[in-house]
Amino acid sequence: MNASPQSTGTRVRLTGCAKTFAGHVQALKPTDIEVSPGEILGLLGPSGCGKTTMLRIMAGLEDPDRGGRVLFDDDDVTPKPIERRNVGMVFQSYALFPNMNVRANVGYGLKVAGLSRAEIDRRVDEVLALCQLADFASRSIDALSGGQRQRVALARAVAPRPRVLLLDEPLSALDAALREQLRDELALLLRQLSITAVFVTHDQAEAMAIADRVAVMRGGEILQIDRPETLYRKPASGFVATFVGGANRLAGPVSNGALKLRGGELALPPGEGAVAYVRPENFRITDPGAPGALRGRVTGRIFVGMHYRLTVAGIADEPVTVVTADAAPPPIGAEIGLAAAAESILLLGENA
Amino acid sequence: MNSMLKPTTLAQLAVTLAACLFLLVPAILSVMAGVTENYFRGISSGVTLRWVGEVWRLYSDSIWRSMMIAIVCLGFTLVIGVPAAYALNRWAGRTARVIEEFISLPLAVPGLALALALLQLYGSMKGFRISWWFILVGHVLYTLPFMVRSVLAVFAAIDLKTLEEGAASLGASSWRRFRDIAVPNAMPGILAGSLTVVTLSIGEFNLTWMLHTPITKTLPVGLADSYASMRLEIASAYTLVFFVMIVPLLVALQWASTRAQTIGKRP
Repeated sequence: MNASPQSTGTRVRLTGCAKTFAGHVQALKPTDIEVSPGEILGLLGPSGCGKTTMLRIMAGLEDPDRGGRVLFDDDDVTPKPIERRNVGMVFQSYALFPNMNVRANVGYGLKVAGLSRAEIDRRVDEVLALCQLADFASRSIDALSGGQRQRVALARAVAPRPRVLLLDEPLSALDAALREQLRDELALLLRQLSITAVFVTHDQAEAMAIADRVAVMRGGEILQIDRPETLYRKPASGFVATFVGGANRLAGPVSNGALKLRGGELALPPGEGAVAYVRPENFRITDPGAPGALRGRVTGRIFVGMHYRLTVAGIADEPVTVVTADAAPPPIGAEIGLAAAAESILLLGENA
Repeated sequence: MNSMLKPTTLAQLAVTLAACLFLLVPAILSVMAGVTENYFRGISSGVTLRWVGEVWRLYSDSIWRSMMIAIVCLGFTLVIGVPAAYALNRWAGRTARVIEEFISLPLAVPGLALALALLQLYGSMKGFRISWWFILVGHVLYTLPFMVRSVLAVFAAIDLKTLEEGAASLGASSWRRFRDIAVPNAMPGILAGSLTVVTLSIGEFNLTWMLHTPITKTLPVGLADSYASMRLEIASAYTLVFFVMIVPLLVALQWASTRAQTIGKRP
């Protein structure tokens, strides 16, 4: 397959899409979202945040509540069932057909489309080569490893050249080491295909690695939708800061531009937010008596390879987490000081 | 090897063997009687296949009829049962569960009651009443739940819903999904269900006894008839014929059920 079967992807738009399930649970609040042609959008959030519901509405596996519309370019696909939307879908469990071998699975969409035998064979060979599956074409599904199954599921979804590729937790069924490897492969492959793609994940590292833009969701709504760098550097809320990258929440009375905490006073940057968030890697360890430092005591120290993760009590009401690249950080029990540069402190709204 | 000698193991073995003997001895005696020249003089009177031949001469039509009913019954349960299971699996609502229970009702209602109901309803339709189709209706009603349940269990085990969503995302219509995905992947369940239906239909006595007429006897009805009206050797030879027909079916059924149950448990 040449690197980009459709260099111009499809624009996907949801307007006013909400979803209320029986029992009056509103899984998705009325939502507008637009995915640009060829863009890879990640839907990120904890379970129950509505991300899978939104994906299934795009796919046509769920109907939005009355009033919601799904558009692929100018085509209003809202009334169309999934089989008439020309979408590719990768399921969490892969949903490979056990009664067909790898080749038949990958070729099924082309067969349904009524292509000639020769054309099907040619296109399947292309996709299998692209997904590094050429040697497994005649294998049965049972004889594949988890990673191979994941690739077959992807190959099957892209073989009919769908307008949009939708992936529901595509990597979550794999073990950690394999997940990281396949994550990078998937990111590369999606860019090669230059297809509009939307994927759902609860893993922020996965979302950051694959997506052009990430929509962070909670409670059935999108809290922020931005490029990964922007999400990290300018989170719109405490939840986003904590969920993407991790952050320590520091709350207390403010006077004269300083936040009063149990461990001392923290100089704040100018800003509006009521609560300060400091990422674990933005704390600097100092002497306990150093001017402007917060005092605390190390209560936990975990070695994670490229850095240590310390838990420090006595700074705020909750223990804070500090990440340091220091080869010999203070031991458990040590009294230390923590400083944070004002520009690294995130001032955000109290709730959300 | 040590565990083999534990007292509890030995006790279990003894109980199992005793139970087997309890069940097998009458069957063996009966079969032996069927090939004995004269039962009252015992096996020393000589071994013969004469009685088996006699059974064939007297009852071959019942045997053929039973096989025909079983096969036509299987056809009906397949055509009705597999799509019914497909529909029930798809509709997750309460109505579907009620219908499922309704289909299973013939399991709980005694065959006798079912037969009486059929007689009340269709007894006056003379041509139907005296044809083997009448018995067939009873057999289809009685065996259908076994087919539906067997296929439903496999549909649940393979997570058909997601497989179908996968096929639908690739453009497959409802009918294609049934043909390409649902039926092929439910094969072990369909096979186990089919063997159950055939075995039950061939062995069914309760209901058939009420529904049959002298010209529409089946294999088990013939067996009862031979015990009631023929000499013991012939009735015993009949038992032998019955065994020869039903035991291979039971073995195949055991194999197919085991196979159907392991589906979905694959890595």
